[in-house]
Amino acid sequence: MFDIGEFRAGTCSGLTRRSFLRIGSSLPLGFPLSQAAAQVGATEAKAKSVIFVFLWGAPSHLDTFDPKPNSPVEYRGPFANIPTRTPGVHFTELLPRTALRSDLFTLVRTNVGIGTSAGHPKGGTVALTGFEEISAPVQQPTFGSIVAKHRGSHGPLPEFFSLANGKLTAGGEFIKGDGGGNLTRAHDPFMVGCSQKGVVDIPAMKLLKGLSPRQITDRRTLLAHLDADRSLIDNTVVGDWQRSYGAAYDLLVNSEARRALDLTQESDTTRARYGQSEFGQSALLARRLAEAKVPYIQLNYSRDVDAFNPGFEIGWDTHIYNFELLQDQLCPNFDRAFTALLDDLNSRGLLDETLLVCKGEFGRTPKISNRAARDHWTRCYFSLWAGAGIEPGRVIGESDRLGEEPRSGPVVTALDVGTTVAQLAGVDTQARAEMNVLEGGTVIDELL
Amino acid sequence: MSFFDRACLRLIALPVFVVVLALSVSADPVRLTSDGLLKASPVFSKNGTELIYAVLENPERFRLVKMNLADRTTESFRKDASTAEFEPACSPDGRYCAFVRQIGVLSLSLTILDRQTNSITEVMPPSGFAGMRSPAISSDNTRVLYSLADEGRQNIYSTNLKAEDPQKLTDSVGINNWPCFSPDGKWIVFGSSRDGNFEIYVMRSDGSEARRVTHNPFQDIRPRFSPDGQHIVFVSHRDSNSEIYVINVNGTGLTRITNHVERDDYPEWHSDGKRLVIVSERNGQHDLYLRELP
Repeated sequence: MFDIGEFRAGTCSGLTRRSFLRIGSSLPLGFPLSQAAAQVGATEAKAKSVIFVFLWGAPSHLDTFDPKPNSPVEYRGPFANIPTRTPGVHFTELLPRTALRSDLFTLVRTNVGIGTSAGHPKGGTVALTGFEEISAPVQQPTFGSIVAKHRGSHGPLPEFFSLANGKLTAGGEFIKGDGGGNLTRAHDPFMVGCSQKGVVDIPAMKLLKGLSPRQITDRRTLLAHLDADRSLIDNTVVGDWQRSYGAAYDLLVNSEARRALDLTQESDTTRARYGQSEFGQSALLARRLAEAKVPYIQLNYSRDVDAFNPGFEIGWDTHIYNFELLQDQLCPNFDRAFTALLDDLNSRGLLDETLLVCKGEFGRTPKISNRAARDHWTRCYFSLWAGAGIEPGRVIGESDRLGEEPRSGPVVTALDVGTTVAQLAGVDTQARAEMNVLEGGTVIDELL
Repeated sequence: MSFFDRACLRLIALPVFVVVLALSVSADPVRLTSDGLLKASPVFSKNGTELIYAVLENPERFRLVKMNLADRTTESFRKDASTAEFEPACSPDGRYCAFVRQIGVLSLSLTILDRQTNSITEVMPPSGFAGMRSPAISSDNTRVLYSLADEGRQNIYSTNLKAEDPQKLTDSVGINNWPCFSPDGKWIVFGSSRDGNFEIYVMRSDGSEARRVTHNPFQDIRPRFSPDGQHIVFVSHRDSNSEIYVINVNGTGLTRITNHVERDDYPEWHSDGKRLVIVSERNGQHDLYLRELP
């Protein structure tokens, strides 16, 4: 089953009318689905798909992947360390499953932020675009938009999915740099949500009012109907609307596309491995999309950063009760779903051609705060990398005694992360220059 | 062995097998919920006839749910709740319930509900990002315990049921949390990282004479006194994942209660002292189970 808007819709025997009516708004404007826009370089990509796991809110590096057991009590936190499959490397006791799979990924412990972007909306823009937020309305494109534009679409599915129950926010404020930016909104992500039970939700605006799949026998009929109902469409996007709803048509009538979004195609055992949580079922959806060769999937842990924010799910921004939130909810949830994704990609042979990256927008203060928790820290944090030819089972970069600064190894900015992702996804130096993106970024050679 | 011998053996073995099977079946935990939604902090109320717990009904909000244990019917505990409410605590007679209420971004209050008069008293957090956690009510309905962070530490406090007379009961480094009164109200059991990692401690109800109960490098958390005050149930990661253990108050007689590759958490004693309610994750789903003690 999947849900387009608020209603469930069967995917094997066609769509219900109400469901059909609600498709559309989540499509990126001008999303060029049927226009095979494959570009030079896509076939050379080591990563046919990228899954970018975004731990929005910023997890503490000391309490997860970079523990400091010998630091003073006001730094180290209460968690014990456990050995991993990587000799000499320890994680905290909150990540037992991930520790058992450290041979499947490589850990970078020297990610750093840039400029003054220590707050969430700005930090989110940096994490997703590599650049600081600017005052102009149009930002640099997100990594997913760059890969999507370069690779284009080869089938009925959008080339860039962002999995969350709505646009990303920080305390209710939207991130500016989470879309196509100066590559145009045509390369915005296709937003899809997923419930704890695995019901896939595509937020919608009811723009196709009055239509049903039975009435729509072909794309021309669809467009004729839409012509009669132009008043429902935002005037500012009229230029793009035909392509958008042509794309909607393709998605809805193509059984292969619908199947990729349908988690009931999975066995109960597989679904259980990911856990009954939004993040877990979204991770499973990400694997299905990678299997369907979608070039870029941004798997967001939560829509909002805050751990406690009325109206939003629990994110990684743990200014209060950091330790309890990590042990009660965030880490168990992550540990289960992330390792299920890793195992699944590995056992299906998808890891060779899928790049899996996992990180937040920054880390959290090594020194425990006045609130007995941890605040924002941009000067040193972690990222995880797997697949697409990256040699696994390593730790790259070392933080200092307190986890405050990089001590050795590469100093990795978000721009370097984006550049490396793009490179592995086939957006090479020349392609980046031609697109005028990721200027100044460096590929993290140590990973390759 | 002749055919007759084998037949006799089967005749004898069959009832033995049936008895063993029946015993093992009766000892199996009873699953109280089946929706698999994330749940936390179940507590018994009204002398064990009612169960109140937090459930993540939708991604944005924990709600308190009340279950009648006799027929397992459930209903919303606070139908008019407009924000997340979780970590319930109830007096044994069920008259008072305290819980944590989300009142803003990273802001949590402690709410004390008198179910007899349907009146509410609220302990408000300090300004900014702050909040109370883990309330517990004394059996004589006079004091409420809670945890609150300040000056780089997290300590245990108590207040009366009118949110007056706040008292700071611990003053140590690290995190002090999950307080629980002994049935006679003279002692408090709690978890603390004062010695480096989370361990179980007991202290007098005025905060004096704190002493350590557990000694293990992995976390020991969420302790609860048994109804007779002799035992403590708690959660530990000592065997690689979250499992339930019982220990005597003097630190002897450690007994492992659960043993599963998935998570067992949030134990609470039934008032009969013979059963525990636990949130167990099975096949990725979180449900309440009632488990008899060995």
